[in-house]
Amino acid sequence: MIFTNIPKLLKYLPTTLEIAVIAYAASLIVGFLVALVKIKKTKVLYQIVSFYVSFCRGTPIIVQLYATYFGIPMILQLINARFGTHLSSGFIPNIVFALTALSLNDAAYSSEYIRASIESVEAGQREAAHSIGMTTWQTLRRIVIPEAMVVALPSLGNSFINMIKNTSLAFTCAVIELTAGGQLIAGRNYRYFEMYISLAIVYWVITFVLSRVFGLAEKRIRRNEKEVDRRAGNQRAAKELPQA
Amino acid sequence: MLEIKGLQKSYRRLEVLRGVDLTVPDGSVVGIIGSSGSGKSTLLRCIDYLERPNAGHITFDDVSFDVTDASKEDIRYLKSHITMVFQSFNLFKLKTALENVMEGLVIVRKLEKAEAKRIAEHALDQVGLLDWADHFPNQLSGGQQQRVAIARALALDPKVILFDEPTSALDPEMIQEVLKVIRDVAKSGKTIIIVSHEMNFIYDICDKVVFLADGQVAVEGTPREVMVETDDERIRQFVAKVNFIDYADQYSI
Repeated sequence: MIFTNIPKLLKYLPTTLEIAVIAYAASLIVGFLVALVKIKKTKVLYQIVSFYVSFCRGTPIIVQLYATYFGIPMILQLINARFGTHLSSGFIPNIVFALTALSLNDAAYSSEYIRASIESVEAGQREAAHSIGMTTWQTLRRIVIPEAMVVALPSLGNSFINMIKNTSLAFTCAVIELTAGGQLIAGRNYRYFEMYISLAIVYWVITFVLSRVFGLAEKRIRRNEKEVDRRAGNQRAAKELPQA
Repeated sequence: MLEIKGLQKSYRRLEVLRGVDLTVPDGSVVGIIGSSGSGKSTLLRCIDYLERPNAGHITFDDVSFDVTDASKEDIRYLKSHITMVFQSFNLFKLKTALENVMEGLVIVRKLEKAEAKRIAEHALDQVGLLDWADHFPNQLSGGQQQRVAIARALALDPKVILFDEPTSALDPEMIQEVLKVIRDVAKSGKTIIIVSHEMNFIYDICDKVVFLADGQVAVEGTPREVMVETDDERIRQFVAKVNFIDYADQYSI
């Protein structure tokens, strides 16, 4: 029963992955921008993002999901009343509400990892890049971000795994993903316990694979810690040794 | 030719440079000495625009500007022809020696990879580290890292190379290998400004020595004039403290 459920569940897997990947990508972009504001301490913007981060970290994600689901249509109505437009939330797919809430929530956390990791890069690395004539953007892209990634990757991997699990809350916005799909199937024969075990297995397999992928990525990015062929250097060193 | 007039730099209330004048003719080697806190490093950092000076006038070849209204093009011209070698090497950690040297050629000078590699290998060969091209900074000794850093500067063929205490962070047995490389660079005719506490080395390679004190040029002249024949008490005390062996006196005994 537990294992025969799994093939039926796979129908809903693409929705779950779609939410997770898109929300996570959006979260990284927003998190990066928030981190830049926090590092540069831009006036006004700094206060706004501080409030945003504090709010998202201080309220339950399920509350944020409901707030988004009910809030966006109300904002549209407000705009309609004020400006005489005819915007309607009926055309917005439900998944958009879930994506908005999940990505904004995650960005609040990832902005902190990203900020800390960028600040961990030694100033000398940036100065050396500037000294050879690289622009601020080139320095960021070629030097700072790769080095910051070494520090941030474990946390970012963690937050992606969290995102996968948080997609199970998307049902609050009427999106049928893995968990909601499983509940629908279980509703037919009331075998809820078996279904939840099946769901647990599916989630666990996904997150297990992901943690392996992030582990490999980390190894790849810490390329300077790889053992290199030292023979060439050693041969030279041997040549330089004084003859006994 | 690089000409600096009245350069000032302060951090909040702390005045570090209080109107420095410095002339560096093409192909010359200028040494800057002075006790710590006299503004030597800040002067170099202002010349490479790692710090923004507060006032002063900079003339470099045909470009001449006041630092208070320097245009982006002026600064870019200055930065693209002046390169710094740092006290703590500052090699890019995640790049091999070869990639460190290639980075500026590929990203800033927009050269083809193959061409950049050829130039970078030549530069590494000049500092005697071609065999170590594939090693990462954490796999090299301090002296080797500094030589790669010098190769990184050389590869870009800048008009001026700034050395900011290039041997201060090194273990004693590695100082000589780095000084030898710097000497070779000086002999090749490159314009150099060097801040160092290696007094004998400064005495040896420099055409001109500048003694900075309290953010101003106290004395300048040939190494002999500044370090031996001076009657400025501050320099006498400084030179006595840093173990400068005056060759002239040594031989006359």
